[in-house]
Amino acid sequence: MPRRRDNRLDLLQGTLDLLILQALVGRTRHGYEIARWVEATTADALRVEEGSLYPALHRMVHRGWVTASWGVSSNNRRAKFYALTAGGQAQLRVERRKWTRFSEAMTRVLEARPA
Amino acid sequence: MTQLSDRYAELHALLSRSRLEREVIEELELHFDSLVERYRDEGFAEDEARSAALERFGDIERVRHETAAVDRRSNRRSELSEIAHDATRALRLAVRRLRRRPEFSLFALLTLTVAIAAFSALFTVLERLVLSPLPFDEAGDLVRIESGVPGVGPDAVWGLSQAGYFDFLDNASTLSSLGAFSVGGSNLTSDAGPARVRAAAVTATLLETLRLRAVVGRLLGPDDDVPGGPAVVMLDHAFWQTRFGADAEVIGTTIELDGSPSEIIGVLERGHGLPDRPADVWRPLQLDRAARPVNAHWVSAIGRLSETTADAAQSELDGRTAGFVERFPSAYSDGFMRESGFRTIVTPLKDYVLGDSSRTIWILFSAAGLLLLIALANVTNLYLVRTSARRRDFQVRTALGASRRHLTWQCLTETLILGAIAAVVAIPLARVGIQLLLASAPPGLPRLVELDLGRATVLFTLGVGLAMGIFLGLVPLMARTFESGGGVARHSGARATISRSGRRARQVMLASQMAVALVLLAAGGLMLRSLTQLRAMESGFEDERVLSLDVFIPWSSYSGYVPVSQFYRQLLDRLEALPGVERAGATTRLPMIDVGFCSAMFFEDQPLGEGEVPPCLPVALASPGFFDVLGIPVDGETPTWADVDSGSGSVVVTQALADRIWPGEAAIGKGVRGNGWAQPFYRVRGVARDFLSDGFDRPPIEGVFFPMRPIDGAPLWSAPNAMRVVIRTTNDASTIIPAVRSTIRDLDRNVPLANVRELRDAIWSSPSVSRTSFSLLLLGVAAGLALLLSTVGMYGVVSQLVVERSGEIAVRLALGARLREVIAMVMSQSMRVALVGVGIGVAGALAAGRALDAVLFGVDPADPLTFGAATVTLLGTVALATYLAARRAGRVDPIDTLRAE
Repeated sequence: MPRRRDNRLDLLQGTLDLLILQALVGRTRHGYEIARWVEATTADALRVEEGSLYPALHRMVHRGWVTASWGVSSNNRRAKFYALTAGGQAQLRVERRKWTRFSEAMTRVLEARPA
Repeated sequence: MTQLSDRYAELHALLSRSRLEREVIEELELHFDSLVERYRDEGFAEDEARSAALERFGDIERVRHETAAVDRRSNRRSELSEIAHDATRALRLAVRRLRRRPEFSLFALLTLTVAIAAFSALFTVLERLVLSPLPFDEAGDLVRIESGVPGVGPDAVWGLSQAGYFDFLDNASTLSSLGAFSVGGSNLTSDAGPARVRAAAVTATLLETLRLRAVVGRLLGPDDDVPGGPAVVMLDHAFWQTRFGADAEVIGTTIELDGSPSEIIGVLERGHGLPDRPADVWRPLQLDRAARPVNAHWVSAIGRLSETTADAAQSELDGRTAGFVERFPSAYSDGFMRESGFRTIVTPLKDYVLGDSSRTIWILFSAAGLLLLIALANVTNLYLVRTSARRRDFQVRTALGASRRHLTWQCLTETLILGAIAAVVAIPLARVGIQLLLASAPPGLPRLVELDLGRATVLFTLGVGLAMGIFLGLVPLMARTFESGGGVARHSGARATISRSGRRARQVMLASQMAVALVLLAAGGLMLRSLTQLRAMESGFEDERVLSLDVFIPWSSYSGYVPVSQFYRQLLDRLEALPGVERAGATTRLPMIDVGFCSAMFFEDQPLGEGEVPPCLPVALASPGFFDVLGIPVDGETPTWADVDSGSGSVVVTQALADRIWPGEAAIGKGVRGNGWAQPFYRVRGVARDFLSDGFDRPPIEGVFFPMRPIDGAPLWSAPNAMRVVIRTTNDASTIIPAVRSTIRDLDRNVPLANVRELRDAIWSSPSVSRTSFSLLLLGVAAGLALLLSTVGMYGVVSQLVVERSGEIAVRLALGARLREVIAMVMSQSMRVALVGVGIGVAGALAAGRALDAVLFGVDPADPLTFGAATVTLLGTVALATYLAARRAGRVDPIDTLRAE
């Protein structure tokens, strides 16, 4: 039975959307592929919970950030593929900026010398 | 086996889920299976891989639910916005379509608006007159209680006796409360000078029974309503406004009522008073329980039922009345009860107030409804015509895939807009209509004061508008416009059949419209004829150029017959000396105005047997000159002032009375008196030609006119301090009013006068006449509008019928037929249809006439003149419309017409 890896990080609030949008840059993926891409890219440091992935995806469809269309997966099954829309790209820029500012701010706090 | 059933349950659950949920499931399954596959690739055994995937996934059901919920929420939102979007689009389209055919839209709008407004106005007025004629809380429980004495006269009705009133008040369990009142004239003196007012004397229990309230001050209470109680008075709201300028400070001040000071304690709520008996001031009746019971029935009574029916109250009071002889021997004897047929009558107050007119009013309701029907028929018709014109358009769209529902929705929005606009415009119009109706309403219909469209009526009006809109929108459905079939492909063939069935529909429409219009027109005509008959009625007296005024000389300064008759003699002499006055007279009973009162009469040559009851006959005091003023010829002689002053006891009876009492005998010289059979008797000196006095629909009065002074030993009722003075003038009666006023003021500054008006106006504004004439007026209005609407509507149908045949007309003309012949042919055809309609209409109108019979006056319900006029009007309209349309169709170049085909 696969064990939980201890070096895994919990997702910060609000970063799931950013991860999904980023996963869809330049290509379409279905839900499992998105989750897999995040794990692989972060060397399993970040993991997307299935419980939040799908509601988030569907929400994003209705917000017009991504579109969904049925296609065939690599293992030859019907799968729903998600693609970034122009609105999604704009949203991605917004989320990225937010994240950058946040992490810069965090870094500055952590690097500050005690007074 | 269990596995199988599990599978089945799974399958079933799967299938029963919505498409969206199935997609979510599929998506999650793929994910799950991919996870399992990955774990397997990492080297786990199959079931280990599965449980690892399960653990990682957590609660699959929860994920599924959450995801599906996201979809559902967004779907609902987008569906709503889609509907809103559709609706605005449909509205915009509908408005555009309506604007594209301005004449059609305007005509439909106008017809609907006029009809809805008229209906609402009539409905509002009628609703107030009939459905809620009483301004009291839970008015349905109120009953009028009277004594019927059929032995005295066929319809003779008395009030209750004081003893009877207290007996019912104390004992009747079917009545939760009971009140008594008596209305009469009173003399009011305040800072503003003297005035003659209508005064109601009421018991405190009456206020409680009617559930009246005071807007200022307080109501009369039980402490006021005791013998010898305080002299207090309440004011009617309208009287408070006109006489005291709605000044709340009058509470606590003192006015003089018939010479005795009374304190004003309160003002009644606006529009609330005695049913049908307007009073200006209200004072306590102060009945004395301890008084010895006497056979005097002067108390009017109104009771409130205690959760029971009028019939139950009737039977209880019947029982109590039967015990009167035993309980009140000083007032009732077995002989009296038997001979008079004495009984107590309980009538629901609403029936009492409405009387015979409720039937008229239901007829009016139907007329208003028919009006609406005509308008609906007009616009429906128009729609049918337009619908067949748009049929091809619809067929194309159906063929292109537009759904039936979609097209219906389109039609509906269009007609709903029409209905809504019509209703909205109709509301202010109905307001104006109500004001116009009220302006032409005669006085004496108290419930009409301050009438306006209520919130309920506004909603009702909107409802009617929308209902009409929906109905019209469904017309194309009924006409089966949307059926596709091969209609487009072979359209000219289809067109021929459509226009054939369409034409039949329009012919039926025309005929039924004619029929409905004829019924309304004939009914309206009958009513209008009644009205003119009523106006031209031979009353037997002349009411032109007669001024009538009410004079009351205070008891304090003129007490007894001698000073009173001297005053009136002086007054009449001075009035006759005025330039422009021919003759002046006075009476206590003015024909058509003073109605009802009668008194027991005894005749010298007809002594009564044991237990026999004397006839109750209308009696009055009259001055010399009274019959001359009214132009009533008198056989024999009319008493002069010399007769009056000498106390000769000369009376005048009417011919009708003489014929009843002394058939075949000369009445002159006979002896007559009230107050029991005994000497001396008054002598009949003159017999007046018959005249109407109790109403236009009543037989001539059987009256006795006594002199203004009694003879010794035969008292009259009381000195006639209050009399109605009538003055015959040479020219316009109204011009002498200032001179009359100053004459009275010169004679005695303290004498008030009231109701100075021309007799003709006075008669036409009396309650009985006014209710009838107002009803007739309302029906006349309904009939006039019906004529207008149906004329316009019929013109539309007829011209459409002709337009449809324009192809045929063109062919005939092209083949050499003369225009005149073609017109004649077309006309004969539409006249045939019209005649069918007239035939049905006449049958309907005859039936309606029978229902109207009760309210008609001097007109046969099958009056040939009215029916003829209505028929000619309608046929003439159809003929004219056909002629105009046919001529127009014939004028067009036949080739053009045929090309257009």
